Amino acid sequence: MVGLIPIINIVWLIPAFPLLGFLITGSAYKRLKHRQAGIIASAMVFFSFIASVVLYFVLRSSGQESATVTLFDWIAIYNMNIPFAFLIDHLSLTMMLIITGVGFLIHLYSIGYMSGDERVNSFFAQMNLFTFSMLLLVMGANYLVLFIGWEGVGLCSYLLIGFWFKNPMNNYAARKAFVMNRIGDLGFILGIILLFFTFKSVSFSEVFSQASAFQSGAPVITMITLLLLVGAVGKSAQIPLFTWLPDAMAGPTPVSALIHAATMVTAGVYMIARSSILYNLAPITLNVIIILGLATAILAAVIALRQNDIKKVLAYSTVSQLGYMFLALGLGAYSTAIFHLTTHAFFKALLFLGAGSVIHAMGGEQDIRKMGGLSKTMPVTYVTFFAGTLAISGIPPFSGFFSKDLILSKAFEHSVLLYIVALVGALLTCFYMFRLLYLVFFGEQRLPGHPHESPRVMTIPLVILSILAAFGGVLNIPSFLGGNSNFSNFLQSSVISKAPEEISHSTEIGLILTSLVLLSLVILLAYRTYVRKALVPAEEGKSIFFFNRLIERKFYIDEIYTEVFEKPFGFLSDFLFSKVENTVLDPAVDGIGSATSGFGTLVRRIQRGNISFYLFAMVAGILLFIIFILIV
Amino acid sequence: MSALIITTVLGIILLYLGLTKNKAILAPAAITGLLITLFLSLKTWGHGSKYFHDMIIIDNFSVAFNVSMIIITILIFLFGINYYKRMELHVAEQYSLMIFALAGAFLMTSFSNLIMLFLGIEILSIPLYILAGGKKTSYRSNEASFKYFMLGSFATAFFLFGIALVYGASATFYLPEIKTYIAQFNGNLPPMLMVGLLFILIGVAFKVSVAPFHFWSPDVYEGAPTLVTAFMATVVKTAGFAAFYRLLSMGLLPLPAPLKKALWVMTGLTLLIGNLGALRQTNFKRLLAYSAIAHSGFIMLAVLSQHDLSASVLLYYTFVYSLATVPLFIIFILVKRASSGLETLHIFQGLYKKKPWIAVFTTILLMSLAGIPLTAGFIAKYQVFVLSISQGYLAISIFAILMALIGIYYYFFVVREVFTETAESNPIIVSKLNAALIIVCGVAVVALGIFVWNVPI
Repeated sequence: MVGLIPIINIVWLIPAFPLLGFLITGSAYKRLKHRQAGIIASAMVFFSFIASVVLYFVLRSSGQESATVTLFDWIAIYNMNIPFAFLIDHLSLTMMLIITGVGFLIHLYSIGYMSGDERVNSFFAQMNLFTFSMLLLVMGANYLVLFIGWEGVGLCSYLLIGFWFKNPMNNYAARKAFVMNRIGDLGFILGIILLFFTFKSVSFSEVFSQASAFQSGAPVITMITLLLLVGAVGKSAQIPLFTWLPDAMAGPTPVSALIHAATMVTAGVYMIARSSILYNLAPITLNVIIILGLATAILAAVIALRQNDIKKVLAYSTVSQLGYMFLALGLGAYSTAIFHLTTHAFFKALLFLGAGSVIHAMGGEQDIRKMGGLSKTMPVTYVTFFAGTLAISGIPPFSGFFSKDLILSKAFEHSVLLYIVALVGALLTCFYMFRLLYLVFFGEQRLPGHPHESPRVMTIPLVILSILAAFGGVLNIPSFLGGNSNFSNFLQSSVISKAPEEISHSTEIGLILTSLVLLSLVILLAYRTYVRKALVPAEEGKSIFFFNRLIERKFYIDEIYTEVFEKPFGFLSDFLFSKVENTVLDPAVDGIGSATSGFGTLVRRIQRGNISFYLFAMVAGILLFIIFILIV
Repeated sequence: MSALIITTVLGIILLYLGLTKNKAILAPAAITGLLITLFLSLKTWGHGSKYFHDMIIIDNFSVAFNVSMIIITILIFLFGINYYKRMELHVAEQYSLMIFALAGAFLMTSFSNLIMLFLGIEILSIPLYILAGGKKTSYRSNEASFKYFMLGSFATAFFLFGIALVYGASATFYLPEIKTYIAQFNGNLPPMLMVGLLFILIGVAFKVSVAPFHFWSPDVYEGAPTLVTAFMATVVKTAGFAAFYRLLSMGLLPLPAPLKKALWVMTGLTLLIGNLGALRQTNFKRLLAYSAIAHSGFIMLAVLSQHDLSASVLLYYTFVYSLATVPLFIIFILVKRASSGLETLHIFQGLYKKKPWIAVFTTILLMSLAGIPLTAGFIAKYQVFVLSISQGYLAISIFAILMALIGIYYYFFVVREVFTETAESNPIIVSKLNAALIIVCGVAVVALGIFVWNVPI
């Protein structure tokens, strides 16, 4: 306890490094040459990572489970007292290590990937700003600091999706992401306001300690959790606000890896896990989360089956995996959700970076039908990508196996139906991932050219991430395999999971064997289709089956949104503009303006500089006031 | 008490330093003296004491306001180094007169007796009458001085008359005793007492240019030397409102209903005239004069919302307002020099092109006066509105918010000029010290807007 206090104050350094990096690269972006910006930015994130590791050991050796560090009193007016404080506990430490660790690897990779881009300095400035905001998001000790980070990452996401702004499509994608996130943010803000209204505080510790006074299912808690959920749904791309994430692939690939796979999109999962005490009191909300999560997981996995853009496949896969995290959250297994978040950060970052490496080698080509046979020319990328594919498919002993299996067994505890649907989703995941792998790396090269392996600065992060993706599972070995669920226990002090009903080890092993058999069959099927028969997916729109077309068009969800929301809103705003604004509002506003102006001129005229008039007016004023007070 | 004595002695010393004909030592000497005063004032925080048979009571309230006024005066003096370089004669008098006025201001924050309040107001005012006429050869400056003196004497007469009437009724000058005396009537005050109190309030209202006793301020602000105007708009206003608040809280609360209504009418009128008057101004100094009237209206809202926090909100508002106003006057001086003495808003044209940083900070300062979020001005207005609404004055608060909206228009009128390009290309010369001070004030305004704190008094 005593030893902790001085050292923990270095906590502000962790977000300060990337902020400094942003300031340096941002203000000197015209002067930095060649790789300087990338090196500075990567170094800053690396320093943060080191500081986070130090912090982890400091907290561990102190024996304390959490520490709140108040940097300064931020807002102190009347009964509102919101300090700018950081909460360092096992949950935020986990997130910090992911953000800075994986973030550093992605920064490093970007030095190679973005070299030659004319705005590379701005790119790194924005990446550092993103890292800073994301750290604020997970370190904040109250909902308001979290919200600053929340908006900060939203802004950076917008900027980076539209990074190549010369292409109007990219700008459209950026705008779409921003607008959809705003819809979620609206709910989030309302949730925070209601929270403040209910608890008279937005600090985690106070809110959670007061929450115990509420009954389970209290309407106000349900309302708060639902509103916060709206924010999480927007940020973490769940139904119905998920369509922005696939479009967000317009940004550079490292951005997709960092923001749209490993960190930002998991902010919603983090926020709900952080608020676990509130969510435990709201069974209705938890059920909503289960339904949303599972539906998203299945829908996105189905769409991913027939995508032909390498990044789009991974994007839908991210949406689907986020759905699994939400499923775990809805089941009250918050630490499981965070565990899947962690392994997902490893393997999905790996897959995106691998995809980036492929795109880099193919000279910007993203269509998997035009690739093939890359395993020979790009061995490192191939091996690491393979590791990532095994991990996401849940093949033991890769990391995804441990986290996904835990979610499936939690689903089984809840109900068998839930388990079956989740398992189907997992099989779909396995299929589309192996389809991707086979089409890209196996068979014959379908496009002329000489693809080459990427430079070291890109392959080294791939190798490190593939090691993490392969062995990340050892963090949390379940008891039936002789482990003791270290990761879940580690998080126990920060997130209050719902009391688990233990299922017996034999049932668990049975479940795993079932899924392993099915997974092998699926891999075999994919192998027969795409390697043996060497089938290449048909051109879009050529498919004869209605269902295939439906999937190819992503269930027409974008079109439905356009018809149901965009067009009516367009009509409404046209109407408001032409009828209400032009004929009613404008003249009225102008009228008020000119009337005010007229009064202004009048007041100015009274002031003529005539001193006897002033004296006269003062006396008149005094007399009127005397009469006034004597009469009233 | 030592602060008051040292300030007075400092004024005398400065007067004699003028005999050495060495202008360069004046500002450093004055600033050193003020820093000592600042230090001594801060030391008395939390150790209140009483003097002269309790006629003066130094408490945290007086210390907080004194410190605020000292800081602003130091700021003005720092700008004065550059400003008075061009002036040949009587520079020492300028400094010492401001110091004397400051001594009067100290009395106005620590009185508990009407006589002390009167002394304070007069010690503050008489140097100002002279300072307003500081440019001896300028017709406008002389006119300002004369007008200020005439109208000021007039207001003083009423003020004294009010004291006499109150004494006639209650046989005391001590505010706490007046308070108990008033309390026994249960709200139905005899006319003599009522009129006496009204006259006292009007006397103070005149000093802080509350309508309809504001007529002097646009003319005087415009005619007086700009640095003096800055002093009047900030330190004098802070002192006036501190006195107003102290008068009410020590002697008159709870206010008798008719007086309260009269004061609310004045507040509404002030808001209206201040904001509407500023709307069509073409002269920057007059614009800031009306802006000062408008801010008086907002501050009145805080003073009249009788709440434990009123004092600290008042302190915050006046300090933040001063912090934005002083550098704006300085920037005005600098651009005025570059455009051969014109005072219209158009002289700000091209500022962004010539001095982009100064232009950015001008914008920030104007935004703070307008009350745009992320500046201290916003928090100040926000606190005032929360205070008045929490005390149930909803209608006048809504009115004040509407008036604040009008305010945005005329402040941004200046901002527009700043970013307008112009063919005219006289260079704007900004000394390093001035630039540094402007930047410090601008940064402070933003910092106070983001890291909100209140001094508990």
